[in-house]
Amino acid sequence: MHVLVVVADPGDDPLLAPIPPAVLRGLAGGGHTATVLDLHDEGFDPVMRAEQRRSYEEAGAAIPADIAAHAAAVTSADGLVLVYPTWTSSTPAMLKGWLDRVLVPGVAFHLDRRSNRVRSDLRRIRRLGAVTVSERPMSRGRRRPDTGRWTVTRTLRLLASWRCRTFWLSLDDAGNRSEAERNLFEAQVEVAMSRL
Amino acid sequence: MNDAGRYLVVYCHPIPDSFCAALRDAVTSGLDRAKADYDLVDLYASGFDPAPSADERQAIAGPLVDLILDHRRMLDRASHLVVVYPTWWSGPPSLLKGWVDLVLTGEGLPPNHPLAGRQRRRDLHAISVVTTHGSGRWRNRLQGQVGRSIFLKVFARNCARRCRRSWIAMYDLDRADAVDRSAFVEQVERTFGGPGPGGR
Repeated sequence: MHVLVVVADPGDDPLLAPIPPAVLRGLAGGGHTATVLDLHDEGFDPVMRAEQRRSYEEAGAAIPADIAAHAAAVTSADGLVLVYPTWTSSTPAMLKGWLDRVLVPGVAFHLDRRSNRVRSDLRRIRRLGAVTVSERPMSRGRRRPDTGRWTVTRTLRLLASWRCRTFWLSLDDAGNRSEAERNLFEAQVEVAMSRL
Repeated sequence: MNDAGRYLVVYCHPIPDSFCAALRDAVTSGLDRAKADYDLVDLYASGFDPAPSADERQAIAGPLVDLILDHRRMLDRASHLVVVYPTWWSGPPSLLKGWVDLVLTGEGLPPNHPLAGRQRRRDLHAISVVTTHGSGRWRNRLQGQVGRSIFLKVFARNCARRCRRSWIAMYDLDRADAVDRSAFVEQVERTFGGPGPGGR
């Protein structure tokens, strides 16, 4: 299986740093091939500008040069793994901006002219999930909703294959975890990725 | 919906003549009519960077810190927060999400940063979200209502105990005609222009 790994790590978070290598080790161990997009590393612009938004609904509009490679990577993937820090219970702006700017008409979906409804072009994706690290304690029922989880396993799930399996690996309250617990989480990530 | 206290209106859309801009104008003209005081932040015009690099995140002085402090001062004065944005992928645009992390909750900064740490807003007595969805209400429910959750559940916990939460949303914008749109603009203006239908 070919897996696209999207990493939104600003690069100064010691709790998140070991996660992307663990994901790649696991994928390689399971015999999967991977493409990595490190958004901060390549200076991705996460803000949808007026120019791109204006051409949003024009059929056949040109895809901006800086996202063409991302668009090709996401349409040729069988699996999608997102790695990011959880802030305010949800995905950081860098990752949200990647969704806003790359998953556009002509790449991720098209509008059905007759019904004006969204039709996905990402049905190829059969595995979808996220690996995340959160400074906050685990959510307790209704008190702290897992909003980022819904972005991945519900919002994006609606675009994927009908038989797509999802996963969600989160290290909560990461700042207060012992080294043994952090190593255990890394090992869990590695095993989960190899069994993808 | 107008009672004593100042409003902070945060608007986030890249296109100046968009439908969201009309909604922002409806909010402000309603507040003008009710003779309420407000500050208006246009996030796209402010040049705010929602995803600063490691160096910018660590810096304890500079343009990012100035902007965060400036916006937090406006929040200190406000008793009512209004956000106006288009819903993309079930939630706010990346620019507004970055603003939430850096200004509202401080979670987007490193834990040892002087501006990080929990932002308590016990004087914020009401939060209103004015937003549009291209698809329908039920699709948004299936998607997990990310925007509603961020503002009215997660952030609202930091606000006043009996914080009033209003969700003023238009659905099915992709299939709406001019009549539907102007009806929603009028509803928004009425809501902020004083006690009226949909006001509370």
